[in-house]
Amino acid sequence: MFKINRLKVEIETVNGTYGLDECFSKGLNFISSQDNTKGKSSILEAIYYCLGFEQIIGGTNGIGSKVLTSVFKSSIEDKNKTWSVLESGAYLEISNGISVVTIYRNMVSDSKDNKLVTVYYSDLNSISNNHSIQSEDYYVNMPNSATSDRGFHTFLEKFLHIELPIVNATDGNDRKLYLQMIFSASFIEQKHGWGDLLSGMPFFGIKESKKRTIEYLLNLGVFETEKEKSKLKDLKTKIDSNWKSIIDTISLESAIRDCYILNIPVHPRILKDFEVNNISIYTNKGIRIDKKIIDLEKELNELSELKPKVIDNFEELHNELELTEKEIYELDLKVKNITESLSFEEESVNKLVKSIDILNKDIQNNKDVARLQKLGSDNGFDIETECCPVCKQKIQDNILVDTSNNIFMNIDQNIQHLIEQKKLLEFSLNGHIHSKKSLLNQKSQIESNIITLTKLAQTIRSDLYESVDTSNSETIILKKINLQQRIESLTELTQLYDKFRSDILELSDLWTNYLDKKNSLPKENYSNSDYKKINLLKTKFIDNLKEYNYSSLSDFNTIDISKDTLLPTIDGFDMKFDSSASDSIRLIWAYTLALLQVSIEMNGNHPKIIVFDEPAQQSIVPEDMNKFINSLVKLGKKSQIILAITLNSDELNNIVNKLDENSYYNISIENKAFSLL
Amino acid sequence: MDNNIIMGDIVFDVKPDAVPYNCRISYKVPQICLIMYLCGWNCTCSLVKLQIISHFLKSDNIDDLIAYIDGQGKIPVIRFDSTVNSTLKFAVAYGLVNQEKNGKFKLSENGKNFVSQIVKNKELLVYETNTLKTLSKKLSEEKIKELFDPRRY
Repeated sequence: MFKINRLKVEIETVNGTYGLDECFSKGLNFISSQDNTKGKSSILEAIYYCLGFEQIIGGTNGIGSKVLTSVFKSSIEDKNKTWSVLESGAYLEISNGISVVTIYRNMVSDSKDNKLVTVYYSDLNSISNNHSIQSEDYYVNMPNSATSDRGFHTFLEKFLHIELPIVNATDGNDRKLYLQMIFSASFIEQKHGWGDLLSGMPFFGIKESKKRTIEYLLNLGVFETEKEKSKLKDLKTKIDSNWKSIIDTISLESAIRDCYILNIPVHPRILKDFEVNNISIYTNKGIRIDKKIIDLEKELNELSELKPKVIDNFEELHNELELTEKEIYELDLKVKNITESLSFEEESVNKLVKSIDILNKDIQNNKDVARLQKLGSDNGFDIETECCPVCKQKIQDNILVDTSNNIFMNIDQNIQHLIEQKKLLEFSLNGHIHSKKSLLNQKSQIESNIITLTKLAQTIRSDLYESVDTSNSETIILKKINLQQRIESLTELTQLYDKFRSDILELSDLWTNYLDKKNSLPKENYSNSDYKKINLLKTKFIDNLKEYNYSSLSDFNTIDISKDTLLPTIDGFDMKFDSSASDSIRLIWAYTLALLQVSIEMNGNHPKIIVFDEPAQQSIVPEDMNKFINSLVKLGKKSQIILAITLNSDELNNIVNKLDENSYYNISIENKAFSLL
Repeated sequence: MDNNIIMGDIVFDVKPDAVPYNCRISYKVPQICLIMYLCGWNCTCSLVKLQIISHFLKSDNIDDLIAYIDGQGKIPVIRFDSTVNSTLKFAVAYGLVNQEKNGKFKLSENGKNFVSQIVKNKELLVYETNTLKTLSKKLSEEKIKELFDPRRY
């Protein structure tokens, strides 16, 4: 269980240190004052701020101290005098039920970035007494602060033993659900919080963010479906890669044998039989492979039948020799050219690989520099080098030359610059590798052609000049051998092709299977136990409403919790449309509490802390307020509830006074929340 | 010209230049401090020692230096670098380094604290830290004297 133990705010002024140091207990806590503008909301703000949840107050862009009230940032009033704030910060001691940590985050400070949060592994008292307390700095509300090891919200997630689910974002990627979103369901802030259910939730580009948050709080099984989805995604990647690999193999095998393949389906899809039949292999001269094999066999047979003597076709042989030699010469030239370009490509590849290595080192070092600068900020000196450490004139981060005339990139720009360079080089490297590969293919093909032709030329020559009249023409024998080889290799290709067809059909079946599974995945897959939880949420919600005298409705049976949004509806319409202003406040009371009640009863993921800032909005009558507070007391010590309230009437005072003294803890603010410490 | 397509003037803005990391103050200062911390007795180094180590760190052949110290390698060629001197000035200005009476440079408490955090963080300046750890404190001031002894030639 998450519990806030103690808050200590320190605001340094010339007049001394102002601030506040209050403890919180389990169960119900009041932060009360007789009047408005005493600083109750500022106390709550400090709590949000320490936890890095300032976006609940200020929206997605409300990062850092700018969302805080002026008392932390600019000036503080005391006895009609105004003192300007020099430095300020707050300690928040929290517990997860087992261990205790203290969080410190500064609000105004010249030396330390307020995106750095310090976590002390001890309670607040021991920090000042004991200097050996371990502490670590974490980043908050910066990119990756929810996922990286140094991110504060990663720390908080671990500390609170929360396991945040991965959810879909609007940009199509998967992201972790944000802690801010979960806590916005239980931290009802005064300015936005009372507008609508969960209206304080900052926008982080998560799809159906409210629903996802409620699903998580109630610990519904939908995330199982998400797991199933990711399994299917893996399956898809597997099919994709297999599909690509078998297509690559058959294309390569065809290319080696001077053939090409037509009508090939490049991406996985459901193949019909005729489509598979349409995939066929042609030789480079455009003849279908099976026909080519038949032709070759015919030629071979003809050759076997005739056994010409050399003397009969002397002229013919002579011509053939000339032609063959010419062809060999041309092919030789080609090989020479290819070899030249190959060596050029190789050199480019080597150069690029080296450059990328250097760039990688550069990028790493620059990133180190960026972090060193931040580390420096923590140690009281800035190596940010904006200004000279001695004369405080403006200088730039360059040790070499007088930098007065040139502008230099700052470290972030520099890193970006290098990364872009790397992208460019990688693109070019890929191009070179690709062309090198295709050149190598071409070369080996031509070389094998040359060998065949050379053999042919040799035999023709021996036929012409050496053989005895009666002997069989060696040329013909060689031709026969060549033909046989060709037939063999083409037959092999047809076998491969048959295998390819059966493989791709199999993959196509898998693909069909995958699509089927994907479509049968329910959009909203709530299991029975999920429905139980949702029904309990409905019951609790309606009970709460009745308790608080919700009166915009005569028949509570028409209320339902929508399965699409998990928010309450009446006859299918958003409940808020049909509620009076004060009733929509009751609605928020009822729903916020119902989430906690269900979570307690059915073992949900609710952090079990609720903060209400001024729940007595819209002139709620004291009687209902009384019931509300009593229902909070009933929750007992299983959770922590912090209620900031203005007790400006006798009725309200009476409500609090009538409560059993052990059932609540009151932080009463007499004058101003922040006084001289 | 009558057929001038571009009517207005073209203005070229000065674009910021990229700075190599080893010319950045924010890289060199921590690097120098790291050398003192890992290679200097009592975190103290003479200027020449800093120059030598910085040279070998940059040229990525610290093994040559170690071989020489062990009496096995050739006499290494050392290139002095003016950026080391200016880096020291900055380090002194930041209060990370103090100059001792004997002219050597020593890390201040602040500097020790800073470097210890770099070393503790296993992801920062990894190459530098590992290389300097292999050299450790092997390069003594005596060895340096020997290296620069004119009688050697």
